[in-house]
Amino acid sequence: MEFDVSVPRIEPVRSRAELRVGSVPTAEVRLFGLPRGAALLLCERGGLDTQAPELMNALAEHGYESLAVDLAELDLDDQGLLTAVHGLLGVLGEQGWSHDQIGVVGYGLGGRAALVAACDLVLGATVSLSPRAALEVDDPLVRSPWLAMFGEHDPDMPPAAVAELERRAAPAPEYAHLVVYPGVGADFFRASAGSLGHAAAFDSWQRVVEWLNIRVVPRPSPYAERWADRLQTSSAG
Amino acid sequence: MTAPIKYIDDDREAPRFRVNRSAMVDPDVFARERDRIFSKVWLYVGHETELKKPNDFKTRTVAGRPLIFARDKGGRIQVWINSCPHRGAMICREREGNARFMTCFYHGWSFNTSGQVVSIPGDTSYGADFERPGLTSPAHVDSYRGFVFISFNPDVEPLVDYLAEAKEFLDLVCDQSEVGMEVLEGTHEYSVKANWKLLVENSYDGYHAVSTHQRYFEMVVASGIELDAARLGDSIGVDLGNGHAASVGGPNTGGLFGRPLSEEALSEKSQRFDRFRTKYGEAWVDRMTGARNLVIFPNLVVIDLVMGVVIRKIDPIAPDYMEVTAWELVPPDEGPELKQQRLDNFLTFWGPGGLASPDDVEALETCQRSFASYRELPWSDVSRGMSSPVALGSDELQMRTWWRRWDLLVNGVEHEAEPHDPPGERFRGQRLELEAPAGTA
Repeated sequence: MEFDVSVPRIEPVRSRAELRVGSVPTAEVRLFGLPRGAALLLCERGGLDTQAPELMNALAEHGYESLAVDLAELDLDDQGLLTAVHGLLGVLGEQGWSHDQIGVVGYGLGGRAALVAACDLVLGATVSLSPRAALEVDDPLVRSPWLAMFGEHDPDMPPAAVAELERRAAPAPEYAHLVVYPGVGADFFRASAGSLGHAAAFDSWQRVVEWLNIRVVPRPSPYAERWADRLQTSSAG
Repeated sequence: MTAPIKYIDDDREAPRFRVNRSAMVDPDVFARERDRIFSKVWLYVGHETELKKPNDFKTRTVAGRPLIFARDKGGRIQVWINSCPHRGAMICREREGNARFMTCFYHGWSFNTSGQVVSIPGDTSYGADFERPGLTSPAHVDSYRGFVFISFNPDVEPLVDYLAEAKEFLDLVCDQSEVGMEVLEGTHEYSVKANWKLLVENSYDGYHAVSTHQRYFEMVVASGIELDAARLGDSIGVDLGNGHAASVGGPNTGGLFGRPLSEEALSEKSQRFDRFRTKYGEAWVDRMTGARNLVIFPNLVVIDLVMGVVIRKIDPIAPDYMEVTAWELVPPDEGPELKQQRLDNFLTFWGPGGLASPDDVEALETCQRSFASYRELPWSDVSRGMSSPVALGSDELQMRTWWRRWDLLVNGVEHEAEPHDPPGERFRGQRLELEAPAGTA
């Protein structure tokens, strides 16, 4: 991803989260005013230092606070990933974010964690980019809207496997949308000089933002809360 | 002072029924139709199965109004006027999709699929007590067995009353699946340079089939199908009340001229209908196996013919221009070959590039061009079968039924229903089950 240098850059605050499955390093961007929503960013291995700062700044441009983690070092199975996501959602919950105000965006193993969370939880939105071995997830019947993106040349998820995953996800109670980018590999979301790579990186980020914007419940303003109270009172009366 | 124009000449003594062609060209008539028909009656907007998941939506135009046809977060069907209550821009500019929130691109107001405004940028400038407007719905939204209708008229009668006897014909279609009929993804969309009422007439006009669609019948014969002239002619026209009417084939006329099926597919089809016979009774299923071309007044067409069910919505755009949208309604529990045959017929018979619809479009467009001479040749004749005891499917009772309703609503002229003998027993068999079918309004 490339960013406009004129946009002020926010340095994420590094810390650790103590989860039931272990302690993980985190990065956090908090915003002043009335943030649009919150994003839980599940990085690829080592991504907390490499990809997280740029992604968190890009999310902040659209009004999202974010909490980023790298779960790779904990060596978790699906149940462990789910427990970790539960714990991280709890961290965001302490900051006042409800599940429907949170979008989960995951890369690689984090993408798999996002899928596992989508199957178990009702969240605002979930996104997986090159989710690891997604076809092996039991019953991908998502309860949260799930966007998954793959590169055509990803040996882990060739197009036929993506089609199979789409078929298995079709009966899900929530909407799932799967995208395959032509001519690129599993790292399609990284900036690339090649035209197909550039198009995939640009388009995939655009999709992430739009997916969140049309699904994550916006945090209400004080006046909006007041209006909601009035509506509730009048309907109760 | 000039005498008011007589649009319908309904002479029972002659007998003769004529339609004044000025009804096809006059912008004033078109404006009155918009006001007195499309703003008053129930209108089809879409089928529930087009919206499979929560927050699925389609944008549609009905009676010139842009609409959002959606399933909300809780799974309820909703229809919204596609206009921001703030300053009017379209909230949704996509044809279809899935979104819990829609944001007006003009000033950024956001709404959920339940129609509530969820965010207003810079809302402090409106003050704490600002009444936040939500999306507006048509006056009424209701459905019958998955067919969703709206009405802009707050005083409209209940949908089930409006549908009158047409309900039974929707039942005959909807009972063809044990899991519920389903609209397939994708549409046929085409336009016709002709008045919209011409396609209404054409949609249940049995008289034109052999002459206009000769090419299609030649193709069917060449594929090895032997056309049974006696069964092709086994049909009647019926008045279903409130302007609705149908041409209806006798038992086993529904697939008379479709492509041939394999033994396996024939066996599957036979087994399916055997199950229906146990469930619904012989008389009802005999009716189910017949062809039917149904028009629900004013502009919804449901055709169950040539091994397929077509839903067609006709949208008047100008006196001499219409847009048409068609969907294929299928039983999702059918096997692959039966499904393939439906798709084949949907494409080769009904499709805008098929062997039937282009013929119809050509016929209607030549009608419209010739209506430039409506002053010299003011009347079209729709009298066929008027004096027959039983109106046949190739007669024109269906069109007369529609036109009488049209004349009542547009011009306030009342016509008595046309007397005919009741249809024979074969056309009146009832479903065994006494309870209302699932999904009724």
